[in-house]
Amino acid sequence: MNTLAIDHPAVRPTRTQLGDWTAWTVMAKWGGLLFIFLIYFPLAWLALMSISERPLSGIPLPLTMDNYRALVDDTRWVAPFSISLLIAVFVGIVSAIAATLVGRHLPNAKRSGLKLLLCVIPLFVPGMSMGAALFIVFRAMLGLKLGYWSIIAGHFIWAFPFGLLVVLVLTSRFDHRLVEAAEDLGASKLRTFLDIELPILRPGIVGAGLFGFLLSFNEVLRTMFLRGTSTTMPIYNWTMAASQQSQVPIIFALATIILLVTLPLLAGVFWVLYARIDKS
Amino acid sequence: MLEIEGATHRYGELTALDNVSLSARQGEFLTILGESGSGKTTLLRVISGLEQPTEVGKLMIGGENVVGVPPSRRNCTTVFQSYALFPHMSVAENIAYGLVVRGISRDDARKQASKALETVRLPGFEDRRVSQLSGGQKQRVAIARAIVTRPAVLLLDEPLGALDERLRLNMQNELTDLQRQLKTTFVYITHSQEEALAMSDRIVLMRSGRIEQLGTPSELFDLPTSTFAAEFMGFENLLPGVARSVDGNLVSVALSGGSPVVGIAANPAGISQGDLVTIAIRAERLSHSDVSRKQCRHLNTLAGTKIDQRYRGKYSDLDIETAAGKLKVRTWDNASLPEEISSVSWRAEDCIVLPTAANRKT
Repeated sequence: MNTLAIDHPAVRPTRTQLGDWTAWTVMAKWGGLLFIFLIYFPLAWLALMSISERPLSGIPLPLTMDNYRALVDDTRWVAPFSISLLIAVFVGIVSAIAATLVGRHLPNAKRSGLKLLLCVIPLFVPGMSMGAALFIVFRAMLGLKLGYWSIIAGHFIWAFPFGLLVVLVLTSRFDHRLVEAAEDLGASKLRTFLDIELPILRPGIVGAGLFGFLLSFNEVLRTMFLRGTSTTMPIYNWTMAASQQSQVPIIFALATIILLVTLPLLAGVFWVLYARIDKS
Repeated sequence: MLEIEGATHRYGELTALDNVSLSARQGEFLTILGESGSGKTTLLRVISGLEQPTEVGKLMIGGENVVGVPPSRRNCTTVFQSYALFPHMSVAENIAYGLVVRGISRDDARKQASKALETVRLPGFEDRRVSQLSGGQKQRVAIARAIVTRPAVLLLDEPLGALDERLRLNMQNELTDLQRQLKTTFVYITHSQEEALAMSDRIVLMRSGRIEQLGTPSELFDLPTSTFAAEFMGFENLLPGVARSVDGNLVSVALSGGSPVVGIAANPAGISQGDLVTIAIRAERLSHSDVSRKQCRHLNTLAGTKIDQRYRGKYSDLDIETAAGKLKVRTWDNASLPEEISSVSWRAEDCIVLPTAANRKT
């Protein structure tokens, strides 16, 4: 027999006071509750104020539907709203497609870490800097007339990294042996993509699209530099809220409508996508 | 059914497959046996088309030349080691997939999938999700999916590797039954010599991208042609020696310590007088008792003493020190293990004389 290689004395388990402190759990619980309150109370308060007669007073009562009526009568917000919607849908679709194309190849690419970093750097570039930089190139250097196209370009650069990260969650785990199995069973490359890859990656692709939509729909900083003379919904809301006190109640109503439409819609999409996947 | 000539495949500098040629008849169960890294999986991928070989002289599947043909148009399917079942499809959809992509209607494909499920003894599993299946059930679904298109050649990549032992033994029998029933050529990859022996018509033993030995299970088991094959097929005792004379397939060998023994060679022409050789003997073919076996023409005997003894349940292993080296003796009679041993003996036909790798000219 060899002499015993492990010749130091037995090492007993040690215990750090902080590591076993049960108060962490309690703190997490109350911290979480506070956080949830911080998210939902202002939203609920906004909705309440949108049906208040004097929304700027801070007192909700008496209630009225006047603000909504004023919103319906005033049609100036319809054009920027539609434009924002269209741009957001377009950016969402383009982000989803681009993120899928890049996300499928990145996990197997050479020097994938560096390439990923280059793709997601826009996440860390302040919106103002990115907007100004694009403005200088588009307007000053290339002398182009800014408009919807430059807004879309700016939004896409902003939304793409998010979409890519969402798609990568699935593509980096994607089992390429499934593709081989499908080809082995007689499926062409196109059928393999449509029958195997697309359904499995679908949650990521739709997620990328949703991120693109939301990020674009909300965007102000980059839009300010890139809009030329065009106006989007956030820009319109911001200018209205900043310049005319009388418009603020309408903005409250508008914000509430958008919230009531988008929140259940997004919740529904997420439920369909992810709750069903967990079950299968 | 399957014919390969001169297949070579390199991954960069690494030669995974080095000029391999083999063939399989209709309905043959051919096993490719080897360690990991021996090139057996590469060979399978070359056959299925998932890997295009660097060079190949001829590659025929079911009478068709498939050099350069993509995997989707080859008349063979693969049962993958990881099963590779499609997680977003039901069991029936998985099995029917090969039929659906061939343009068969979904109804007909589903009917055939049900039949295939019966063949692999999983009737009624059509609408299960893949994630609800156990390892053994996934295995059966993977087999059903691969056989439902009736390929000329079925490729199986270590299909039983992930199963527990009892299930593995059952599946071995089921696979051979299935193969007889379908009369399909099976090309089966494994690293387990036990699986290879139990199931195959012929075994291809691979080593470093080459075929080391090709033969029936009993040829590989009883008459290996190299020390590598002998070790791989489980010969416990390998002793060095020098060939003294060759007479037919009988070779006289002087072991170190001078003891003369007689053994047989698979390829006596490769051994000449004075060559360094290795003799290989299975532990269970060694006998520690002095009772001579009268029917033997040649009985080799070495004096030795017992230095260790290990109880293994069904049998016991004894370590015997002899002048030529240490020998392991396996005895099935646990009841009457002797305290002392004076010699070990074995028959010439159980003693395989192999050319020592050093003077092999390849």
